[in-house]
Amino acid sequence: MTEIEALQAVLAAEHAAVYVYGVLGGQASQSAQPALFSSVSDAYATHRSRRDLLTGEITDLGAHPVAAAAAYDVPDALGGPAAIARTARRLEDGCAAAYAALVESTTAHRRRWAVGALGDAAVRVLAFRGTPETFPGAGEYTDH
Amino acid sequence: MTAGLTALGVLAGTAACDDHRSGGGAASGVSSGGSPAGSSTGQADPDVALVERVRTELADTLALVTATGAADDSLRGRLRPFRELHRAHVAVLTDAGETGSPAASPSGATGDLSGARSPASALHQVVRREQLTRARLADAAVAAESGTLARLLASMSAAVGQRLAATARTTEAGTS
Repeated sequence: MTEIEALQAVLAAEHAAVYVYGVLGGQASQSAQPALFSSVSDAYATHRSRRDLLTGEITDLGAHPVAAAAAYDVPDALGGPAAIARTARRLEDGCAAAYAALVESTTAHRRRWAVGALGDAAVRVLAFRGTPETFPGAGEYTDH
Repeated sequence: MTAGLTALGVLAGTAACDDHRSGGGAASGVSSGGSPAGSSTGQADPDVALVERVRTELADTLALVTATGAADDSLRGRLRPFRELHRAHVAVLTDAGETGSPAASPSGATGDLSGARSPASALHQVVRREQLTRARLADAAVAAESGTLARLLASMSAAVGQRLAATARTTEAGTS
């Protein structure tokens, strides 16, 4: 995977995250689940910021940033906090894998940024009832 | 160890290194199967020294965590996940099963662990060491010539950060 391909893959993951977190934000109750609502809101802001940054980076490299899809799959049954947290965990796991691929495909300052983003995604999973992993974003090593 | 890590596709070799430094993408010489390009050219793979350094640092951290848990029963259970994490990380880097390479040995740089310390003080020392380990793994990921090795080290750094965050959450929950 080239650097541009990896950047585009991460941007695609961020587009999905922004969309789905937007939906999750509308489902989480600020009064009944303040911690979950806060985590979803923080995640939405972080992913939106990363999406914008990646769009700029890809443009600066002379490529056309991949566009967001018209819609993304969101589980129908988002009735409760457990389903919201599960969906958020899946999003963060996907972002972690995309950032791990970006680490592999970049060097220097861009790789350092990707290392930080991978670590950030790994920690954010915990806010959604996730459990620590041995190899976040690189699960194939777990069975080594 | 070089052969084992190459078998894992972790070490890139000189040719792969040249590929990504010339703009071909860090993974260009690795993802195609992790061929041991370095061995074919007869040149030393710069990542071998990096892996050895990381293994020693992880062994030092593991030694501190193990000694702290052994010295204080109240911390043993809380530190077990760190111990298991570092052992798993060292195992992947060592790949002793394929190469016969010896397990990583601590350098002894963790200092004197004897003497009476409160559990809070001992835990604080471990947390600081883990924070340092996380940062050094991240630095090593950036320094790696092989994209595959960089990804592995970045994942290890993320795992340590994740475990630190989980420990902090547990501590907060216990004090609130």
